[in-house]
Amino acid sequence: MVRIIDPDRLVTVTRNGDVLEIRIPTKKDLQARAETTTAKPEVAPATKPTAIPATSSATEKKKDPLSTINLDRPISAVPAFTALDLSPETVSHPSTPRELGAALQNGVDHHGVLQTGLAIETAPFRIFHLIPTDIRSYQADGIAGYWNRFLYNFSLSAATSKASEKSDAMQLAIGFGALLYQDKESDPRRSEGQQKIFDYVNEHFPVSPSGGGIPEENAEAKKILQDAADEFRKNQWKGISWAAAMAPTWSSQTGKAGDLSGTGFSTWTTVAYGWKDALLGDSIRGQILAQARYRKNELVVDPNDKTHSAKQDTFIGAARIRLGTVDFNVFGEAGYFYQWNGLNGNGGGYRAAGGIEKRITTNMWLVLSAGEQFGGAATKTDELYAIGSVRIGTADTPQYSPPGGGD
Amino acid sequence: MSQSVTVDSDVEIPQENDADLVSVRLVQDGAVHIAYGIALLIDDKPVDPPVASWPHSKPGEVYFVATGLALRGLKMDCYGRVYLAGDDTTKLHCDFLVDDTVVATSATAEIKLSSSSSSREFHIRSHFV
Repeated sequence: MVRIIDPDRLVTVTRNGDVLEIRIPTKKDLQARAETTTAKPEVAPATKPTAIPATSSATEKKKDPLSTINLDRPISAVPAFTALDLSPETVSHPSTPRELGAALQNGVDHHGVLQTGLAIETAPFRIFHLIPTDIRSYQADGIAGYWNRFLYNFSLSAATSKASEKSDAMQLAIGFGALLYQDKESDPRRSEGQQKIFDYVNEHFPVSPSGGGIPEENAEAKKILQDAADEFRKNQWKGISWAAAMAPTWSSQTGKAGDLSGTGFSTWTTVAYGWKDALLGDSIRGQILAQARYRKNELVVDPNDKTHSAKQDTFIGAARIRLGTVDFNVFGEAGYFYQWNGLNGNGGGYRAAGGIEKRITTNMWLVLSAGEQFGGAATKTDELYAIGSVRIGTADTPQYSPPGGGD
Repeated sequence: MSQSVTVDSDVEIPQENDADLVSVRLVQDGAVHIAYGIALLIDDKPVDPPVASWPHSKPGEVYFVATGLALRGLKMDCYGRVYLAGDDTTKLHCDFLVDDTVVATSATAEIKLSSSSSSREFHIRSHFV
């Protein structure tokens, strides 16, 4: 059950019999946060980003694992952040090798101690100029064009977080993300519709050479193109995208980089299909996503018994359908889950749920969901649950949006 | 009304290339839609015909201009528009070449496109000294 006490303040959520209160920021808070977010430069290697763990402690999992698993794994998920269950508020996007170096330097202090809050995402093949990065190379047909797009969109990410709130232990993840396939019309750089609009504007509103001063832009041309971009964004669910990612993880009990040891890896793949036309009216669109996920060697600690820990492997297969607009959508999801060597041994379960996702303001989404799980040996069974959360995104997009729009 | 992204720079073609034919190409780093033209200017007035005609010139294509000596004292404007229904940053500059070798480079225009600013016009002006 979800009950809003005060629209600007608190939401109460009943979850497995426990009542949780989630504070929703006031409008003033949201404005301040939005201004902070929009004011950040795209490249900000000198700033130290703040990472918000999605769970209170990445290693302290509850005994009922299925209810804690977030089935949301959008195409645009950043591998390193996802591997550590992080939702960084600020992410550094280095666009040159120098900026990448500076951003990485922020992750370790002079004593070799890892700093919490490192959150970097970059495109290595672009910043090291290992591929042509012009539009003609990106749009090229055949295998050359495919490889250019693959490498252009290939992402490298890095993140750190505290392994536990009560110790110096740190976690590190390095992530690799690839867009394996994206159909032409879903890609704003290759869409023939987008090219036609751009050609139309250039034909009717040409730019003229200028010998001095700073010329004004043509307002009419700008408006037509902005409307076209907004319309494309509204339809960005449509088409087919297929992405894959992998993120090895490490932990250091002392917090020092020299004491890092491997803690396995997380890997996943997601396929998204969006109906080409609106399903209802002009704006209600639909999308189906399917994903497979595997987490190897995840260290979990029983929060009720700190001496009880396990290194578990987890497989998740999930599918989700959603209907809505870019600002509001309803979704239904189902997932199968199996764990090896977990706190309760081996076992699996199913989960079915539904919910809503509503944009509160730029980069911030309110997500409410409720459902039922059907567990096996490692889970409780047949329990209704509800989850409420405020998601502070790193991009101004819904959770399930295909890449290519710059997520 | 918003202003175009405009960069100005002095460009020096080496004297040993005074008699050589200089060519120009626009270099794009960041895959966004682009349309552009290139014009030489005398007293801030464009010379006809243009070096590269609006709007179908392509990044990376090479256009012959004039000898190094003939260019001295003139201005060149590489002008255009970029667009993307998404977020990306594109960097644009002009390379000046003699026999396929870059002998000078203009200043770089760095243009950030986002969901709230999907297109920008630009001018990359080079003053040959």
